[in-house]
Amino acid sequence: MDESLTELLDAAGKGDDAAQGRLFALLYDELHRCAHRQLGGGGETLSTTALVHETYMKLAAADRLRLESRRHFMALAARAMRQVLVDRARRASADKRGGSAAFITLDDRVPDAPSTAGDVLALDRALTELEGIDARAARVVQLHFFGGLTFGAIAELEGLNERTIKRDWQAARHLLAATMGADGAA
Amino acid sequence: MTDDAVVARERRRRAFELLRAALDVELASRQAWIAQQAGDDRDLAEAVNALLDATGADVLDQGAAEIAARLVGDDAVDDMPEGSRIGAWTIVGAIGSGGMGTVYRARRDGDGYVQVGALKRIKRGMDSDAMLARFRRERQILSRLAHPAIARLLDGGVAEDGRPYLVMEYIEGESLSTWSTRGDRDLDARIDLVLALCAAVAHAHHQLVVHRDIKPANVVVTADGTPRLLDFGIARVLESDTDADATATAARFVSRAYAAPEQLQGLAVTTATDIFQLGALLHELLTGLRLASGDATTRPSQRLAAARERAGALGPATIFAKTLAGDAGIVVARATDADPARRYATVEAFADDLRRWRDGRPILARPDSTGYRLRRFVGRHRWFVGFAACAIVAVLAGGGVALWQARVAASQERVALERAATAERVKGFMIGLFQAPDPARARGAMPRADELLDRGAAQIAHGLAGEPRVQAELYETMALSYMGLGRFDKGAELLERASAMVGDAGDPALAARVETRLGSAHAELGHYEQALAALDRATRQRERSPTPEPADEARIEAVRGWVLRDLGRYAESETALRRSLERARAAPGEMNPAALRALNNLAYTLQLAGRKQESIAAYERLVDWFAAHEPADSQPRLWAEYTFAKSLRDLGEPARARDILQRIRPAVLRVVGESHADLAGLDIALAQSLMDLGDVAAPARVVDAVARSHAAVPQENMLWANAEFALAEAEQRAGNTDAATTNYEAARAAYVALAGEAHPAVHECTRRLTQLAQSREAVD
Repeated sequence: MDESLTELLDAAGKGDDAAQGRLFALLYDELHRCAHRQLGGGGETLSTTALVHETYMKLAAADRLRLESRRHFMALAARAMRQVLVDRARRASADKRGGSAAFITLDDRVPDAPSTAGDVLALDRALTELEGIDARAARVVQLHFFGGLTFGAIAELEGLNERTIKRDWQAARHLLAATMGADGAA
Repeated sequence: MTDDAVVARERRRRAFELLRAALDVELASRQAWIAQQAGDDRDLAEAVNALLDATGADVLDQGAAEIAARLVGDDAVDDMPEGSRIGAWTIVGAIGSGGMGTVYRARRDGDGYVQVGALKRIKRGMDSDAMLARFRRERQILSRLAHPAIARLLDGGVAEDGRPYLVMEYIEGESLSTWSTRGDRDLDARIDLVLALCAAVAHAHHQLVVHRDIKPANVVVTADGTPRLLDFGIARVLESDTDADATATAARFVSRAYAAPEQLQGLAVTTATDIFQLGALLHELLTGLRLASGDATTRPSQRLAAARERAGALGPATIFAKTLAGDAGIVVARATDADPARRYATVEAFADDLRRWRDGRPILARPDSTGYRLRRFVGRHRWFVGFAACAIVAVLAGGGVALWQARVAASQERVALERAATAERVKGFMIGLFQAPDPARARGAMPRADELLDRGAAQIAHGLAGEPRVQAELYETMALSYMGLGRFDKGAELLERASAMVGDAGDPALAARVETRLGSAHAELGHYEQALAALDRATRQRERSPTPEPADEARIEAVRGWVLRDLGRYAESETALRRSLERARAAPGEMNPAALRALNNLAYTLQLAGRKQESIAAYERLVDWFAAHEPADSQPRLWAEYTFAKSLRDLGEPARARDILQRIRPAVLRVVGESHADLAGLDIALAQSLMDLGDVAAPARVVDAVARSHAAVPQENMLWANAEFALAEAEQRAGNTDAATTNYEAARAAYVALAGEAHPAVHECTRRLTQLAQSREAVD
């Protein structure tokens, strides 16, 4: 790595768009790699926390990050995870459309497999909508769901109490469900 | 952004704010609070309420990484290139890949033939315990099924890397969706196809298997137009699946577009679910449109026609809307009723009505059938049905009599019809039982389980005179329930009555079953002569059956092996158990419950016969199998580990015994509860192991556990005698010579009463009593 993570984060935090872009790309690639490696290794089940944590450890090994940087990092990592998922989902649903009509659907149904990609894309759209309505609630969803952070950890990052964060999550769920439902019906 | 959009967004922000605050208000007063906050702005209050009503976004319940893995999995490297070998199979190429696994085309070269199959295996990273369990279940279920319209299971096993695989019949054909879009499929062809599927599903139901995911993508039509039903991946065995989570888990796997309402709601899935899906399939085949929910505005008889109308050019060209008006609509509406209890009672009834409609005969579907009312009743009294099921499961797991397959396997029509009639009578009787006037409980309180049993047992004799078969089945059901509650005396009494009735009732399979159960009830009580007599009658009855089932013999011999072992006749016991094992193996499934049971018993007999290595080898095989196939808290698995540990202690390996017993104790406690004899037995064995390892506090723990065992099993059966022997031994180790002498004498008397003077345990007691007497003399 040419620049240290702290430098990148500092620059990104000061509004350096290029640094922000590089940081994001870095995270995005790293998350991809981690996901693939964990899959290839077999046995182990994936957890978001483990993925993000591994990425964090790897990128941040050299220097301990200040809280401000850590917050920035987690937010970015969660966003990167969201992007990884959305990209995957786009590809998967494209495959489905053009896919072979192989009738061996013997195991086509991992939890809602046919709709997983669709769900992810709908969630992404609904979350974007939420960002325009309540940025903090959207951030909570992003950190908890995509970033795998506990409500307690999010509360610490946000400097709020856990109860507030849980309320945000609950309210966000209702709004996301409403938006996704309308999305699906359309 | 236009002004309107800005205003709309602002409103949504306010609604969201209010929603968040409303979540802090107690549910009861929430509505009023919202209305108050919104004041005149009714729209705002309505928007908040709509948000509160919105649920879903279930995707948020899964881990993002899990989803990522699944999506990543889609382009994971194919780890089985052409030519790789797995078991006896050679991979020819990949057929398709889903999120969970990949299906390959594979071939097996035999002696002068080549077999082609579809080999399925789980992807790396997807092999979580839950997935593996699901995979195993699919394999077990497939091994039960043999029907021309169900893709056959050819082979299965575990590859070198530890991942399981299964090989299905490879079917050349097209998917049902493709098949049905061809214009030339006329009404008859479509109906025939659904009827053929009905036959396949009915077969599965007879084997107590529910498919749960019947949809066009799971049906392949071969070149000659016959369908094959694929994918029992989420199917479920009705009676063995006692795991409440199973339903909820499987609900996640179901394809939403074809799910029955009860699946979406996470409620119990039954054969009615398959009937719904067959009805939905019929709807789609006839109209070209998927069954849509909430189409309640149109009358049932017109819904199908209306759907065909809507489909227009997309629907099958050979079928006209007016053809589908009337009864066809009723048949589909009845099959796909949102309330499972209102659907056809069986797949056969659905198929029958479909045939009637095609032949122009009147259909039988009625707005409110007897079956409907009956099932409403069962729904209302689910607690009792649940209790009976629990009691029976407890007997099966504890007493070792696994499910009686003769019942399931009875394919002869006459017998099947008679049995159906009997089942109806049994149901009717049960209903009467609940309705019996009982002034003491006039205020609608539910009677207790044992009261119901007593009342039922008394009524069987009066209410059903002249119907020996029905009486016998009822006595048997009641007996199983009593035995599930630990009342073996009551169980044996009722089974004796059942035995007297079925002797000449003309159903030897039923008679054999009753006699075997009677045999095990007597064995539990230590009445070995009566047990052996019942088992002899069971054997004779089984031989008289026109279709003797190997599984029946396996069960008879398993109980016989157990009785003979308790009698100290180890060589005969071994013969019986080996025979049981052999016959159990003849049934489908390499290791079915009967085979496992036989192996467990055999291992124990070998231990008592002093054949240490063979015994340990048998136990290890058993325990390894369970470790690979059953969850850690499954009752048969715990039982196997418990008996293994007990034998290890007796074979002089107390450390190993202790480790196992300490590991499984929490699970046993959870499964059987505090006061159960099995937990006391486990604690005896554990304390004995510790005693052998030199723990000076251990003898006291033995004494304590024996007291609990005696409290749980007051009858002086083999369990009682063994506990008494353990007590004597503990007293002896603790140096209480007098107490030890008394206890050895009590144990000895019990052994003699149970199994006669020749029993090895009698000799052992005598030997130890002599030892004690000598040591006392030495002291004196």
